[in-house]
Amino acid sequence: MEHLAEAVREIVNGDAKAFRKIVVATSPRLVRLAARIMGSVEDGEDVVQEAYVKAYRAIADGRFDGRSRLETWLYRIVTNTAIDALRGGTRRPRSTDTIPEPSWDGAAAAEARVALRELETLLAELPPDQRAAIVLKSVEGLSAAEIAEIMDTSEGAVEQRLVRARTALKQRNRNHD
Amino acid sequence: MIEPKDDLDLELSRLQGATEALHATRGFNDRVLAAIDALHVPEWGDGILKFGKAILVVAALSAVAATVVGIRSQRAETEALASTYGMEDFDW
Repeated sequence: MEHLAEAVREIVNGDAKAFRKIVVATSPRLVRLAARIMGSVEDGEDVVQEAYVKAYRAIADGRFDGRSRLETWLYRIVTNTAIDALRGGTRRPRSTDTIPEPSWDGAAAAEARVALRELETLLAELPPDQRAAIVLKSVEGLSAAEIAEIMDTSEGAVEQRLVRARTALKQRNRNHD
Repeated sequence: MIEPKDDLDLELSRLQGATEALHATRGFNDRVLAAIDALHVPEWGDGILKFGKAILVVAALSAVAATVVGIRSQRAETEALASTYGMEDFDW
């Protein structure tokens, strides 16, 4: 991802257009992450857009020091923006339809949106930080160390959140059986 | 030893695979870049403001210079008239 480091240098030197390279390279994964945490693609897009604006300002002002990889840093901004959005209740109203309408992107995406609703229902009662931790661990497949870096906390705190989240989810499943 | 996956792990693993096809709606990247471009609008405003201030300063200096030149011209004209008057008086 050397070209992303180059894009960062170009932005610092005043070339705002170089941010396109970063958006094109990272948006698919970031939107998927945010959608999984938020429970909808639309809310995920809102979060990622806000995160990109924060990231751009930080890069342009020289506040991205490059100590962590750009992708990890963006993951951190998106995750924290999503947690703030969940806490602040700034989510769009959900459609009452159980099946999403067929969209321009075909059946595979429609099935993915159905699965996203299942994930949203499963995680609905978790506090935002536990919800983000379980998505990063069990859905995104990151290690506790990576999650700790993203959530700016210790590995112990991450493990604690994961244990609490899993306990709550198992309890929920028992209640629904 | 690999721990056996429980029902929750299996469910999360299934949802992980099933949501892999998620992606942004059409035009998302362009909307992001438009939002980034919009950050530069105040800079344009600042530029116009700075340009306007510069024009104002130049106009003020021009006005002062014009006044000084006007006063000097008037004084010179008055002195010239006075000299002429004196000479006419002398001739007479």
